[in-house]
Amino acid sequence: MQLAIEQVSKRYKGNQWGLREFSLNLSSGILGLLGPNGAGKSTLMRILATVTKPTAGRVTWNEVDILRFPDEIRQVLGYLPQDFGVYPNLNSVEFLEYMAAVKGIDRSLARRRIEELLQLVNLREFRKRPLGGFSGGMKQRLGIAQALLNDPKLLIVDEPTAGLDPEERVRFRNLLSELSGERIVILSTHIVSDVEAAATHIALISHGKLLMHAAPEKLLQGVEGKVWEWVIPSENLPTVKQKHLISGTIRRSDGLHLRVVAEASPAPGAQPVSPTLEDAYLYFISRSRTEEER
Amino acid sequence: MRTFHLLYHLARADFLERVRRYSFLVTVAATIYLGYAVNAGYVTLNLDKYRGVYNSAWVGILMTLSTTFLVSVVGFYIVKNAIDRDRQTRVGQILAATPLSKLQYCLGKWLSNFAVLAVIVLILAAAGVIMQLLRGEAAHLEWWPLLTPFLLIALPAMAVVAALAVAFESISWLSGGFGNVAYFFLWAFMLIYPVESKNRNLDLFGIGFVERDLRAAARAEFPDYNGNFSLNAGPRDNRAYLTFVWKGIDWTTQKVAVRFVWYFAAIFLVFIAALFFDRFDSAAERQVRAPALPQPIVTSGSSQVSSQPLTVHLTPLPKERGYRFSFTSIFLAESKLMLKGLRWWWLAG
Repeated sequence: MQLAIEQVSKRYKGNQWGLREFSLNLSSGILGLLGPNGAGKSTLMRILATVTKPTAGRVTWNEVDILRFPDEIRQVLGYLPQDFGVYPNLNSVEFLEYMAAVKGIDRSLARRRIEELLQLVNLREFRKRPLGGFSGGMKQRLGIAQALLNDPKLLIVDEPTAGLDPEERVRFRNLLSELSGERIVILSTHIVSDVEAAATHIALISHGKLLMHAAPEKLLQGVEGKVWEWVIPSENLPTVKQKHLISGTIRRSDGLHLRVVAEASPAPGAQPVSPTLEDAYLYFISRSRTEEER
Repeated sequence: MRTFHLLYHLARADFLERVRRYSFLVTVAATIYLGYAVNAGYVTLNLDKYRGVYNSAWVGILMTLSTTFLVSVVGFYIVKNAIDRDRQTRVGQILAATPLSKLQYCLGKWLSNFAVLAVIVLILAAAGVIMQLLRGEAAHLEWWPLLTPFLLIALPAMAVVAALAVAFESISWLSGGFGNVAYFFLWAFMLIYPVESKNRNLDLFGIGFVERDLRAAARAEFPDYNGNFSLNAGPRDNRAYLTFVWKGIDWTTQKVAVRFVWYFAAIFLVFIAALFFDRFDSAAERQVRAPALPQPIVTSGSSQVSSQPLTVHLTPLPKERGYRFSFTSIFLAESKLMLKGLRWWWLAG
């Protein structure tokens, strides 16, 4: 099972680039896709889901070109887009029956899977309620259910935890981890802790380009010795902010505890601390911006 | 078998989504009113100073012609939103990621459009039954002459209207306001041309189809009949007409076949629609604007994350100045909102 993205570019109207010469090879596991807004994450996902075509490049699924033979990937694909929509006047069973038919799932098998999935995403008691009355989180859970209907080999989920309450988020992370066995899961999110908990690999993306693709440990190693805790008086914060990349602040009785990401110690009193994925994310994104400005 | 199962679910979901909307109730109410209007004499079929006795055949043809005449134009605008709904609800992008083909999708939408129009025809057929009973000119209900015009004239016409709606939605330059105007002219052409040219092959709405039959029946009964034929809608017609008994259309195999050809025409139009359908990739060269999401969230005990140094300077507001209403500002803002997005040609018009 292999998904290969080779030199994929996507140009929009007005010569705007969504993706630029993006290459990535994926096999079983969960890929966390991290990047700022407008980085090209959703564009990449739409291309992989065959919703849109790239301007250049090639995507292959098990060595079959999906631009020429999109059904090869569509048959094994589960896709939850960022702005998942429903028919507001159908209920969840009717909507999932519809999606099951569209995905070519046998009727009796579909019925069983629908019941199981509604149970899994905690929507069983609302199975007859019109979807128009669902909250954002409930719709998102239904979106997850429809993406899993056909037991996909490739699961693409774009901001799946947006709108979920903390309990549901944890439940979804665990579900993803359980599902990741013999399939490729691509998870795009702006919640770094979601990626931290579930991803086996992380791809950092900015301005349509791949900055880094590595295991979370490798990413953390990249910022080892570059994260510092520094205690400053509160009034100094605006000045410090101008000069340093700050990944966090905590107010304590002895002053403001800053988490600074920097190549060298920002001040004599600053102490090196263990980096987190957020630190690594900010470091690499900030570095790419600096390089682009040059 | 699998394709039928798929088409059934495609059409079913779309149909249920439509008929459960309040707007469909309005459609049903308008249809019932149309049935009432025909019954109350606001829509009449006359041949000069003659008309048929309100028996099953006459009621059937009157209701059918009223249906094809009005529903073929209004119905188009009612159903021409099936694909757009999938764009608006964003269900389309999920469908685009499935093995569903363009043709299957367009066929499903056509069936759904057709089902909605068929419901309207069904309501008017029921109104026809009630009309005959209320009129009481011919007490005996004859199902065959009453219902065959609905089945063989109205429904094939609705099948084509349903397919045209899918085609207009699939062809990008026909999907908007221009398409709506274009359809109106196409409808007028389809209505007038077969009657004027006597070309029965293009007679989608069946008016020319029955006109010859009715004229012959009137002429047989009244030799002074001048050949006028009119379907009128307007103020109640209280004139006294001389009546004749019309037995209905003699449905020969050839006549039935001619009407069934329109189903093939409809399916052909759906094929054309599938060729033009963009599979929800209308943003091929346009940036997809997703709802704005915040920058990555840090959850490990920190209170603030900033990827770039940021200093905020906001112009302070004078403390003594409270809320002050400005009609000009509100008017300008509202006008801007109202005119935003309109094309120059709309404003010029």
